[in-house]
Amino acid sequence: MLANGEIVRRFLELKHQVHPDVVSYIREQNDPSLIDRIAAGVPDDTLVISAEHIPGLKKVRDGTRFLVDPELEVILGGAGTTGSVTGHEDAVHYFRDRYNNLSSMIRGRMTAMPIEALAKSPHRYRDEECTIIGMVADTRTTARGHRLVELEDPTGTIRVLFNKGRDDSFAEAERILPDEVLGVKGKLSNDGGLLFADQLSRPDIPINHAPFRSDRPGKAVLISDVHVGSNTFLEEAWNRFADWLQDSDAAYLLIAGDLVDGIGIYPGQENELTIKNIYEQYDVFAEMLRDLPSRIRIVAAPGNHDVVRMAEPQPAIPPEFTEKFPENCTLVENPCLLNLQGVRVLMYHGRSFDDMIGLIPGASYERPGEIMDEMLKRRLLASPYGMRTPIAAMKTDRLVIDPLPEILLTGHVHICGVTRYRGVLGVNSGTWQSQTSFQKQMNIYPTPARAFVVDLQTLQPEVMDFS
Amino acid sequence: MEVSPATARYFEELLTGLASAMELAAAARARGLDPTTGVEIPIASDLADRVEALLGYTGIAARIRELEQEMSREEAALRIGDDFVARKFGETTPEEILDHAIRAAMALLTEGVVAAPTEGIAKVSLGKNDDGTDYLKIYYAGPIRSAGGTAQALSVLVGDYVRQALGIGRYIPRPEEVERYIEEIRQYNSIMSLQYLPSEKELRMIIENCPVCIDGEPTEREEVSGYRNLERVETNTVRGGMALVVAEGLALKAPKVLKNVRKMKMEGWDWIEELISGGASAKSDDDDPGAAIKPKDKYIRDLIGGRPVFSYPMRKGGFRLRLGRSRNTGFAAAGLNPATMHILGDFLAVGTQMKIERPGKAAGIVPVDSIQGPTVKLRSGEVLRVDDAAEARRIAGQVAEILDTGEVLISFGEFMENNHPLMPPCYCEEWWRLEGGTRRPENELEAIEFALEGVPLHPEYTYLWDDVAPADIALLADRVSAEGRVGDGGLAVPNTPEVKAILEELLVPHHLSGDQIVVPEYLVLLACLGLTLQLEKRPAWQDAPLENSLDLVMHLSGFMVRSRAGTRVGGRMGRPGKSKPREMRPPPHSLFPIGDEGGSRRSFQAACASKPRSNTDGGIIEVEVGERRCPACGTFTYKNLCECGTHTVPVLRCPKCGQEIGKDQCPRCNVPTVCLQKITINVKNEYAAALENVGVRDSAVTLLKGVKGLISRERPVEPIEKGILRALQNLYVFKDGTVRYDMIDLPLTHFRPDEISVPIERLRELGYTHDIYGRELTESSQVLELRHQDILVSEDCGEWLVRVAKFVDDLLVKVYGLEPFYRAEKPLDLVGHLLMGLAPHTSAGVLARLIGFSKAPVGYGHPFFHAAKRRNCFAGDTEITVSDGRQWISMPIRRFVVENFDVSKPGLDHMGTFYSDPMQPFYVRSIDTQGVTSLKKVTSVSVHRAPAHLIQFATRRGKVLTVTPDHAMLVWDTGYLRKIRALEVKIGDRVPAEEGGLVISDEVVARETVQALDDRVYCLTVAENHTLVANGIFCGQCDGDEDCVMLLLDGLINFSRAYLPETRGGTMDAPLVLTTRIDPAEVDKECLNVDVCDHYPLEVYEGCLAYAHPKDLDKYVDRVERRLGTPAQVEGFFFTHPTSDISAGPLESTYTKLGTMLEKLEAELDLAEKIRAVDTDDVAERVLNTHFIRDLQGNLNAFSKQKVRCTKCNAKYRRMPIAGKCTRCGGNVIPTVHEGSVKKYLEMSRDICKTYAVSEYTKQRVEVLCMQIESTFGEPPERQLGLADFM
Repeated sequence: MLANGEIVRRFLELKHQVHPDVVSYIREQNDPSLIDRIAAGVPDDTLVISAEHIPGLKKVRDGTRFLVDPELEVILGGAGTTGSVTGHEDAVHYFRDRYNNLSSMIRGRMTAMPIEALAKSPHRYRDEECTIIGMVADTRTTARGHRLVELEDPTGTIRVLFNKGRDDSFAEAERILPDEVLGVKGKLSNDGGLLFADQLSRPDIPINHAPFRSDRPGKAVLISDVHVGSNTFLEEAWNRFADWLQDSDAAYLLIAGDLVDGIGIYPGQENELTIKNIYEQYDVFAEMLRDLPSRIRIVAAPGNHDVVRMAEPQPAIPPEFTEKFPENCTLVENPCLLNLQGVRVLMYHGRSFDDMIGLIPGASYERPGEIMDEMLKRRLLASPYGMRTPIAAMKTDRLVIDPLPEILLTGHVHICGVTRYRGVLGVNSGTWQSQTSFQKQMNIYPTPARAFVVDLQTLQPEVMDFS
Repeated sequence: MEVSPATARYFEELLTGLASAMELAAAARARGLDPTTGVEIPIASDLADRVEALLGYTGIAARIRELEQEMSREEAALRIGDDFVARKFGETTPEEILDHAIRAAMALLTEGVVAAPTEGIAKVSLGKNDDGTDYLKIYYAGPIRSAGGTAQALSVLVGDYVRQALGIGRYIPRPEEVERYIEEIRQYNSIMSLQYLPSEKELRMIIENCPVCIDGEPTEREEVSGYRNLERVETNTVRGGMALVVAEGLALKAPKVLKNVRKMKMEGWDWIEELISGGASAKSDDDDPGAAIKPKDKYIRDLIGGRPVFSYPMRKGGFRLRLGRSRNTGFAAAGLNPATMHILGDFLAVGTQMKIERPGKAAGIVPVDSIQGPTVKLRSGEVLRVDDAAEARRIAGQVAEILDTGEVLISFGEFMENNHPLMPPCYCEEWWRLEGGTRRPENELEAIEFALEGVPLHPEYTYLWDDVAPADIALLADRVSAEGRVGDGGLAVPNTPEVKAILEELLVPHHLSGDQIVVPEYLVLLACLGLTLQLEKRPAWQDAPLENSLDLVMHLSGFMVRSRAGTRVGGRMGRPGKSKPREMRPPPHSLFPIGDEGGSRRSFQAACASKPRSNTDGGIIEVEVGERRCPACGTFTYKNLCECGTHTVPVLRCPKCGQEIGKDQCPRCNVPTVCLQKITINVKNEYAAALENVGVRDSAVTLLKGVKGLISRERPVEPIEKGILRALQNLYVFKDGTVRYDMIDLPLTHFRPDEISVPIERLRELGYTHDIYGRELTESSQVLELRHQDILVSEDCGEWLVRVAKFVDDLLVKVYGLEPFYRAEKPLDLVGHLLMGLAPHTSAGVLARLIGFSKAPVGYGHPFFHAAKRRNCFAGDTEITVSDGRQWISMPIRRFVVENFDVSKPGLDHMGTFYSDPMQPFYVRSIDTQGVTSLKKVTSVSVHRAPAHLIQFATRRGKVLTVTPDHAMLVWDTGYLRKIRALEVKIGDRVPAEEGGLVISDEVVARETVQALDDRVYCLTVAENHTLVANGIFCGQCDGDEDCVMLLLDGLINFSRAYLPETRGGTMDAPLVLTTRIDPAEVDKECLNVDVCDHYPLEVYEGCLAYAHPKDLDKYVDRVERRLGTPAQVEGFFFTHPTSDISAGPLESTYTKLGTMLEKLEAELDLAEKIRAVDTDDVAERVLNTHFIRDLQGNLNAFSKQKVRCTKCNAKYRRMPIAGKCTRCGGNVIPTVHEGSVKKYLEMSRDICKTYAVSEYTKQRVEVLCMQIESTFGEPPERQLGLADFM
């Protein structure tokens, strides 16, 4: 087994610097000869060896996409597609579905054995390198500072220890979240009760992923968290935004949840509302949409302030609230996967930011982009179950990121952030609400009144500030 | 303690009884059947002893006594630090000195009964300042709450005092740490509602200047979001103990701190002065003394469905304040006429708690029939006052409207206790007499006669003039003058709505006759209306002042008229009372482990029949028990008694290397040792042998329940025989080996033989020879003064005690081979025997003597007795806060809220913070609070040291820590739990615990300290309701007045610390020490405010009219405090208002009688409709907002985050395992939150929205929730059509 440091050192000897993606790829392949082969094929002027230099690993771009509607298509999460929980057996299906989806992504890269096999005949695998793929049931730090993770697959559970002395895998091990799916390579302890992990893999985005780009011009405007009805809603900024839209060439407006401030979302909310009637809140919002140019296709999803249930996937906002919405507005669920001229946009309000920021060391509300990277690595919009993000456990797990989008749009944290991870553009679009008393108390400084414009041909984002 | 000869004799008798019981218990224990061979409850006679016993620092008791001679207790608490610095008690390291000194001071300040000194301080350690100096960190844990603000603040001072003496530097906070404090304290406030939230400026001043670093263990589940991962702050989780000490301690009690700083001439505290002068410090937001009394709606901010509101804040028709004390009121109990209790729908039974607007927060309700009852309007239109309980029951069905809810008797001492300004009481006979009244007027004429002599109009003939506007009085006078006529039956006036309404408002009794209103007694009315007997307007009308009603009436009549409305006091129902045996869940008869084989009932019978394989003999089970060795023959066993007849000792082994190590820590592996073996036993044979030993046939015991496993440190096993004998008497054992009965506490200072079901002869034998007037006791209606350690228990408890006595006798005879002790056949036989009383969350039992039984399901005891068990020591300023369950709601979030709270939510109560209502078990999941079950108490910690003692704590969460003498472990847990550490050891070992889907870390550090046998265990527990229930707590009147009693001998023989769970909180509720003699100076200060005079002088009433502060009138009222130190402190008490029966009125609350929430709610709203002082629509809306919507929202949310559990082994999973079944046992896994529990209030909420005028906002919230629920569970299926639908 090659260590990260070893790989980096070998490349350095060959006078190359190397991208971490390449290092992890070589580790996954466990083929030291790759190093020489890669180095041999690299043009002399290359500063850093990146994924495209790996022989046989060419960026794969999905060149054609078959579109039912060439403009706007809701692939997943159209209004009315989510159902209700039919019974507690659904939860079994739910986590199995998550496991099956995510484990198959890892399985392409490593061959795993069922956990039961390890548990049943530990002596057979002693001292041998074993690979398992499991969902995290529990994770904690031991008294000595190692990371102990309980992994389960449909056959059984096993405890996996990440030694804090191994810097390469330990840094990642500290970021293990409950209920994500991991592939682990390691050695079994003598009694078979523990697996000492060497290496950890996540479903991740394939290293050779290349995003699709639209062949036609088109721009999408991305926003979220409008919070109509709150006394901190920035009406003037919105009006400037609406004016700007009149003259812009944007064809799409995507709104990732929290259209209105809602009612009863937090104690004492009544005192911070300018519109206390939930119907009126949506009517005012409808009016705002009607004032936008009708050529723009609007897609609106719910968030945790909206009138629908909190548990994700959240259904689209029901018709009794949206009667006055304009024709050009499509209501979708949260999350949903859209297709804009072939470019896939995954829109998710982002309730799970609350959980992930608490669990991932160093994460902060100020840098939502980092969290979006973490979502993409795990291919999960919301990893931990049972924390702040309510999840309606139904037959399938809609929070799995599959297929891969070109753009991931989130909101919820009220702070802008942009990231690009292995070709996927992540945008958190801020808010249209100034700092609330709650945020003040929490020491959160929002970045309100901003909209992102993404050119669907280049996938380049541009931020417009209306504050 | 100076006492009269009679009291001395009384003490003597108690001690004699105790001595004989001790002797017998010692003989029994010497047989070696129990974990240890001695009685494990040490006897403490005074505070110094208790402190020593509680903390285990040898020699400290003597020193405390010396210091107390010379100085105040607060000074002594500081001064004792010098002795620690001088290492007089064997401490070695500076940390240890600091730790012990702070704890000792805390114990002293809290009377040695609260858990704060042990569990409230998790640990003490030293940190490094940026300039390289050391500084002191005190880690406060949740139970610190029980200490009260003053003790909390002073503990910081003690720390500083000792720190200076040891030459340790001051704490220099980094800027980000200051910010962290500010954010965290605010966040804590939003979770738990502090009594006082200091301003940012104040917080900054405190943190930047406080020379000691106030640190804490995490107590909440929530983490701070800013200022995380600070180097010197170990946790990101909110530290409740820290917040309490800073906000409710240092900030709120700054003046107290300053006083001590000055006295001790301490340096570095000058900023305190600035804090006091600078900010709005030290004043809670309650009324400012002197300011006008305004309506306060705090007590109804957190309404719970099913608990009615009886009167809105200061609203007309509400309870009228009557000043006085009856023999069963005072000490947080208030009196109502039993008729009032009936008329108010029987919701208030004897002992039911009522949340009140003022002066305190809650009061236990007791019957006092010498005050006025309610005035009601019947369906027939008749208006009458009901003073008689039988009459009230008779007419209850005919009541159309409750015009006035009658008087509520509250004593002067309550105002004193709560530091509340006095306010005008309603005009009453005793006041009238002070103003010149001589005898009660026989009729109206005489009343008028007296009034004309210059005495104010007698209250009985005074109507509620000040409730009616002068214009209405004029209107009434006009109508009567114009249309009325005087006939045989009285004054008749045509029945018009206006006239009727005015008469009703005045509470003039009348009835209808045809279309006429007839007022039988009309002379005073006419006089006050300024009418002549001929119904002509007197000349006085010509210059009548029309600004003030009373002035108008006085002008018209020429009498002096006082307000009979007085001040109205709002009230709503609080917790219902409780009286029942303590049962764990599931309730065991025996602390004998039978593993999973016993099934969910933990039945021995099932375990005996279980067969691991089909062709084997049954009854072979594998259990984990403690490993013990016989010192005589060397045999290893699990039993306490070796077959050779020698008592065995526990064997401690290192769990890693397996070596036997006689200590708590393996020196090589550096892990705590355990006393544990996994063995196979033939439970069938054991059971059969036990049956034979006690001579019981197999068929006599249909079900014997054991426990699944043992969670104590040494895992000692109880002899099965004990379980069999308990099962025969249908008794269930508590975790410490005792059997207990829980009852709500009520104060009682006097009793009558006829109300306690005990013959006079027996009472005379017990020393009750004379009544309060010094007359020989001959009649059963004479009033006797209760000895302060004598108690009455409920009749049900009496029956239960007989069973316990039989069990103990059986035990003595059949198991220990001794003579029976009680020989009781009926409750009366137990009169005169000794009991042990124990308040929740305390660790000190109090010796008591049983002298009778009350029909009401409550425990009546002397205020001193209750105070001796109280955990809040400083009365006036201390509060024990209990939190209500609200949190729960928020925690797992919503649930907590709903549940606990039932009511309110955070923010409301301060003290209490969360309410849990015990009665709502459904919410229990969250924890404690709520329901009775409540899980969540924060309990406290204890530190114990004693040779050979184990201390065990159980955490709710199931973590267990045990500390043995050699071990010092801290376990701490707070509201929600979490860490365990050993003190002296370095900190740092953590055991993460998983809870609620989160990983919470528990820390355990075990260490041994210095002297040989020093141990401490710190525990925080979240215990049941209590803590959370806090509401009650306020003001020292804690809700937690539910105490338990146990039979003395049962406690002495069967209690063992070795049984107590290793988890935190384990020592809570255990009788670790027994107080034998109550000294009023050493118990909760609240009892000092019990007034003991037989009347109040006129100055008091005049003071009330002027809203004087009770402290200014202190000298006029004889209170216990003024008798301290004299023999009169425990006897010669009187009361101002007699009552004929302390068990009158309903004995069980309607609330507990009604089964479903729907019924309760209907009853509540029906009652609200009837009471004039209640706004029904508002009640409905409040119930929706504070209870139902929270519940719906909380449960819906919880549904989408729920844990699952295995039906077979009860293992809990944060989420469904992928395997779809239990990964441990393969059992079926089911959700913990069901659709039904989410929807349970849905229909009711929608109905309320339809029926009552609820705000649009609230209606929409219900609608939205309903939609969300539908979207989660799908549309409700069409109702199945039954056959009847087609016919």
